[in-house]
Amino acid sequence: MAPTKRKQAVVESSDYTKKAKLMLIGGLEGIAGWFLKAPEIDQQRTLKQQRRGDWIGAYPSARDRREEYYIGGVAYSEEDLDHVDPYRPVKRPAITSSTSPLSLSSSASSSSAKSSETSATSTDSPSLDRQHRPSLSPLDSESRPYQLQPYTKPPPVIAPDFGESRAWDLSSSASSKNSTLDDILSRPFENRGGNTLRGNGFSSRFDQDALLRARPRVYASKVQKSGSLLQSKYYNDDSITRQRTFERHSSENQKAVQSRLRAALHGTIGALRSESTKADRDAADDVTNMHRVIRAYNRGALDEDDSAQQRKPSLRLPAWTRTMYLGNREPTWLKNIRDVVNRSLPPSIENQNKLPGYQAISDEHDRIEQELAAERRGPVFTVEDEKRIKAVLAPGHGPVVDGFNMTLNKHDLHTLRPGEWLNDSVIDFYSQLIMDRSKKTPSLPRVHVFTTHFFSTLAEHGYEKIRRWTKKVDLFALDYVLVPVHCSGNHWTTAVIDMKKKKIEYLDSLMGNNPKCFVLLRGYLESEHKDKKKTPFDFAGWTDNSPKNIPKQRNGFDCGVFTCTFIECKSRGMDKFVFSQKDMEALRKHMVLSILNQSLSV
Amino acid sequence: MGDQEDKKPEAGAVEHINLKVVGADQSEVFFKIKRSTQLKKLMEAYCERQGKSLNSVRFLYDGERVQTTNTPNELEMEDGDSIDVMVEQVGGSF
Repeated sequence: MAPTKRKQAVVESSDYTKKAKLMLIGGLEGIAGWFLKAPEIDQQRTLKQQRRGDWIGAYPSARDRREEYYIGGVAYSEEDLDHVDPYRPVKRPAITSSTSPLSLSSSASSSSAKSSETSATSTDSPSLDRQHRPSLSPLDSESRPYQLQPYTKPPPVIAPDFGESRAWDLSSSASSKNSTLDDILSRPFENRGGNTLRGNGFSSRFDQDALLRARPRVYASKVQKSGSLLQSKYYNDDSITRQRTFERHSSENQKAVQSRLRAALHGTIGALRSESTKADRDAADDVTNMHRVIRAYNRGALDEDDSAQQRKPSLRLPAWTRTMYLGNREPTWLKNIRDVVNRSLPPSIENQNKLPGYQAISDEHDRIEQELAAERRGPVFTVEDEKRIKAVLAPGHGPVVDGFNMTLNKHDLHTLRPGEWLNDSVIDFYSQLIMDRSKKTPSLPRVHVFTTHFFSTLAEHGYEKIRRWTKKVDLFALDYVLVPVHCSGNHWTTAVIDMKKKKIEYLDSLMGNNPKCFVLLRGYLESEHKDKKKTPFDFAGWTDNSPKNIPKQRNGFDCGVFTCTFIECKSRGMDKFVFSQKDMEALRKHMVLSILNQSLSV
Repeated sequence: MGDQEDKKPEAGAVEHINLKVVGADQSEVFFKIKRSTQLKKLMEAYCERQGKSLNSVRFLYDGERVQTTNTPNELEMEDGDSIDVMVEQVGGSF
């Protein structure tokens, strides 16, 4: 007995693996089809549905769900359901003792024996006659699934009479007390009262008539507005709609689908595992075949659809597999399969570097980057430097640097912390460093950098007050006169008087203009020349310029660093600035270090 | 230089000079100090009188910073010279 059992089990399992493979491939096709949103998708899907076999049709995809309904294990399309007679009257034996429609349920249950008889006889006869077609009693609905009868001719829609309000309020109307059950059933559906006769499992939950009584106007408007009575929320005979809902949300159905899916995929993952251990060669072959199929499919799909080429092919399961059938969490076994498949898929833009001219452009880009990096002289800080900078920028008080007839306190250097506004002392000290370097290095241009208070004093009090400020220097023998400008009390900019090229430049990291600056500086040059050289200044050939192709400030605090770096670059005779906003943090550190060392590297 | 320094105290050891301190608001305060006295005394007196912190103002003589340890002799000041007082400037953006 035992061997036969085992054999049977083996046969079953191999059959199972086949099914599993089929299922996985079919499922993957379906998923891949998810990405192809081509207009031919409908045609493709119908073909796929044919190929999938019976096992895949058991559950609808998110797309299919709109069109197919699975009722009692049979698939119905939307059209089928439209042809089902929603107004099918229920053939019941007459009950004379019915006093009110609300007592119908008890009367019906008392006569359930008779009704079951009639329904049994009528199900045997395939008569589709609307008048004589039987309905299901509550007992029937418990014993077997609800079967829908396709109906070819849609019946004439009986428009409910809404002329009299509350006409269907049977509990209050005196005439209903005398009516028999037949009378009630022959009325339009909305006048029938409770729907305990529907037998769809939901009938006992609530009294539809109570709802109707509560909202007669809403009901009327809803029914009148909706194109199809079947769509009405308040439709009394919405057993079909309910049946759909029931089928869709039936936990049993879900569980069955889940277990089938899980079992099938477990078989496949088993094969994958055995591939990794190489214990089972057949299983390994199967996996290889599966991969081949997936690859072939993807290749074909990519060839067919141009827009799909742009998309990165990857295996992503549609949302419904997780939410509807598998719960919110993706199981590990499904993730494993997905990982394996994803690994076998090609990267999206792998041929990028094969584009014509790509290599040349890339090389040129690298070369320019290298040149710029060399020009940029990016400051390099040793660990020791970093420690010193950190120590200086740490909180505290007291003098730190004493030089060039200036004392920098700690709170002055704290303005060089990232994000801080620079103050005049730091800029003045840095200017002194620049002038010092210029004097010590003959190869560099001769420059004079004014104090930050020079321009503000000139603007406020005129030339006379600053006349003596240049008693030690002859501006007209220099290459550059550099003026840090303090604008409107909160902004640092730079004015450059280029004595050799005869131009005045105004450098604003925030791209501002300052016409007054040119006027003031020209006036200063004139007065200075008159005072020192005793001759009027010759402005022939002099130009004013505020260039905009300079490094731009991208925040609200770095303009002091920009100003210092403009001055520093100009003091080296550079016409082009090769630094940017992203260098500011390093340049702040560089300034701190230069100030601490009291010398500026060339 | 050394000779000059030696000479000057001899020449004006008891010589006082008048210095004018011009504030940012153009207010003028006159001081009379010895040529060899450190200007710290003058600066502290000015700040105390104006109610300002020594760290928040800058003393400029002919466009150059004046240190607390400087003396009028060092800076070659003359009688009636003015020292400008500037307030701290900061800037980051508009």
